[in-house]
Amino acid sequence: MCQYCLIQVCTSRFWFNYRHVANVLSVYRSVKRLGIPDSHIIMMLADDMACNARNPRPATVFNNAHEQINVYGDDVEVDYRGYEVTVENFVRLLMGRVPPNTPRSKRLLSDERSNILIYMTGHGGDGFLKFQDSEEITNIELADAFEQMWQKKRYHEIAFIMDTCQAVSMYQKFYSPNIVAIASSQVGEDSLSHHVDSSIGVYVIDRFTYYLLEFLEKIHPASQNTMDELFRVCPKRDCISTPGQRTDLFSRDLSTVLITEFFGSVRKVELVTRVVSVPSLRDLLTTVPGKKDDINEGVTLSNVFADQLPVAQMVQKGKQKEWHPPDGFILAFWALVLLVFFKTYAVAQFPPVAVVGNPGLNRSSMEIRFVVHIMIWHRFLRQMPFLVTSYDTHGYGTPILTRTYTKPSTLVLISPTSEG
Amino acid sequence: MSGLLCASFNFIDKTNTIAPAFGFRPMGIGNETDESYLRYASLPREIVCTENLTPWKKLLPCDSKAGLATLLAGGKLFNSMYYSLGLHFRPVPMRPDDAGWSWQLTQTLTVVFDGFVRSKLTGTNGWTLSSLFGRPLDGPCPIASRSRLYVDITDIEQAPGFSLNPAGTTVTEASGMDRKYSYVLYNLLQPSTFAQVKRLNPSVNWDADWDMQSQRPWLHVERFLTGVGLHHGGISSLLHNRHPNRSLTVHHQDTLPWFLRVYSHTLTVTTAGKANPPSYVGYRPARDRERPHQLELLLTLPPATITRVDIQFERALLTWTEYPPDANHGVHICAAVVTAVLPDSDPCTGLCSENSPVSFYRPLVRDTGHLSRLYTQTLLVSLPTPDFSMPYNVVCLTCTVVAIGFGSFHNILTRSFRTRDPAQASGIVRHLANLIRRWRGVPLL
Repeated sequence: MCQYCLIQVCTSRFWFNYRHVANVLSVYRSVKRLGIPDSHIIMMLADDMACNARNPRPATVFNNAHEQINVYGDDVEVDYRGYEVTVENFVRLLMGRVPPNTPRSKRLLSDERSNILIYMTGHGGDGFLKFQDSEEITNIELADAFEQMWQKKRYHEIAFIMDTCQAVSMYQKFYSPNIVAIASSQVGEDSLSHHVDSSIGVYVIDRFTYYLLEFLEKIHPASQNTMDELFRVCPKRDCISTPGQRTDLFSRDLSTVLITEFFGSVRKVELVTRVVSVPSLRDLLTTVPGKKDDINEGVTLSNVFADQLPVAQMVQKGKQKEWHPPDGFILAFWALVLLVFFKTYAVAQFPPVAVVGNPGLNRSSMEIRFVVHIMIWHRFLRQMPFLVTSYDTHGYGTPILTRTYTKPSTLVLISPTSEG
Repeated sequence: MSGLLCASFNFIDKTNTIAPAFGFRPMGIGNETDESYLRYASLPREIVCTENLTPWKKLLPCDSKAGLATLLAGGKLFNSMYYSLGLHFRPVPMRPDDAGWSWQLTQTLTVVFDGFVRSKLTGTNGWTLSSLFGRPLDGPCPIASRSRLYVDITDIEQAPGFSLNPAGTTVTEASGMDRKYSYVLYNLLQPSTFAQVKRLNPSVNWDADWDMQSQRPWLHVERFLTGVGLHHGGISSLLHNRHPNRSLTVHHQDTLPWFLRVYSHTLTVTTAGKANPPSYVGYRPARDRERPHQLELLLTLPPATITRVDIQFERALLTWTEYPPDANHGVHICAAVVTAVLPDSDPCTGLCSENSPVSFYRPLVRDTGHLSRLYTQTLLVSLPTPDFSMPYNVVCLTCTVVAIGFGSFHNILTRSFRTRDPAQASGIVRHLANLIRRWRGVPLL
């Protein structure tokens, strides 16, 4: 649980937005110096400037052309980086609705006694902040996120600092209590960058953050400076834009709130004179009965070593060919299917053959059938199609219609001979 | 893991994970592993920087406060030609004859400094520890059981004007064939190392006009993209076998993303212009948005040749929400992995032989030769990107047409119109207007 938490978001991608990363890292450095540990800081950097191929001095980020301080430092931990810096991840982080397997360093572990400092920088406009050149967060979304945090008791007080163009528009829609907001420029104004470092080739710091840092460098953990001094940190003659602030939601008088209540982690320490005896670790371990910390108990691994490159196995697997049917087989199979299909389908397309046997004649059906069969075979051998429809008595006196589809058909008429 | 190491491992999902059949085998004891549980994934776009080094250092027993880890400062390490951080976790036998086993965590850090450029800039041939890392060694980590510094002088021992200060223990070892390695060892835990000098700063010098001729390794791989345009393309791998008379058997594994539609019938392997069919081809095609292409080949490289593996692909269009924010940059293809068991005579740096003093991080094998796993370059493929401003343009145009065209039409059809009395003018104005109207003879207001 962090009592003093810091959330820093740099929302800009690409090398020419170097100054936004330098902004965030400078505030990070100041806050760490004043006592907030890495576990209470969540840093979101949308792009990597330190080890960028364009950086002439790798693993360094400077916020000043004199290049005295490497704000990237040797002890930096970035929690959200690259493509992870999205509006969804930011809002989920604030509200605590992160996916279940999110590590602790990527969660905001705050409760109702936490003072959260939120610093955001990047490119913004009237009512929105641009994330990574592809999406925006609006002031209404941000206000709703803070309200959800309030209802879920995830903060005691929030200090919200914004260094973008038209930053004041971002806090205009807040409606949750205990929020103090400072912005670097009014609606309709642009926040400008401070100076360019010609050896790196880009602007290295923004004006508001530059003067904010100048101010923070004078703060140490025991300072008595108050939060309302932050409002006067960058007058118009230095910043060119007019910073704005919003204090109506904050319950306390800001001239009584110390800067270290947000920027530092100053704990109240009480000195006691009585002596407390702490048992040694060895005693603690041996007094726990029956607990084995060997989680692999019972698992024995045989003392064999794996063949790192099993060439023989691979060659053998390579020789196994999957069975394929013989070459012409599939062709013949499909040809047969097509043949059967077309012949079956085409049977109905040809006019029917009627083979009529005159009932009543003293002709046995056998003879008629014999003749018909001869006709059929004749047709078959000549490859001519026919349909046999026979009207025959079968000895019953009434003609019985039987239809035999043997092949596609033409008309064949047989008139029975008379008596003979 | 991604929170522990400040890396975006959460981007590893089924679209960039494969289950390799033969390329990776357990490096610890125990051969009975079910290969269906093995997964390999790679994030080619990730950048390694100080934010990954910081938690890596915090896993060491002395953090970066004492011992060899005090040399690891980001500014010098990442300003080098190549750097690599690794964590290896495996079961090892506790004692060679014992049935018991335990877990071993090995952390590796590899840095390649460019001595050639440095020497041309400074005019002298040589280096010191502080010129490489920015500071010398003050002492060992007290809770470490072993803290040693080895300087490999195999190649420069014979150089004219060679000198190494301060003097350490020389360790020579032979490995197979005719390759002999010699190292100078500084044991930081021995008090004698810091007896003469307060800070250990080995410096090596040799004559400025003698260039070190180090032998090139037997196996070398490179990979590049072929083709022009945004539709078709190809990937070629060149595998160099520089051994004069021994052929090498290598395993080449490739993972290609699903949106590169690979034509597997175009896979060709040629050596010196002639076809060299692989002994094993394991190809698992991709499924859109589910798994990537997986290609494994077992190749035999004849001695002193270059083998070329080619494959063609076609780029697919993604839906417009699937493109990353910097879509015009392109997508990165992960490195191909080439695994080989090289003979011991391979001139590799970094204590490669089985008998080397630092062999505890190598796979436990009984074969002769050492396992070498090479990773090729990652490739950058430009994808045909749509015009991302089009949804905005379409919305604007449609809304304008609807509002102006249909809107006004709708108003005219559905509004009821009433006449409205004109507003009554004020008294004086009306009086004046009436005067004029009386004069004109028209009705009064």
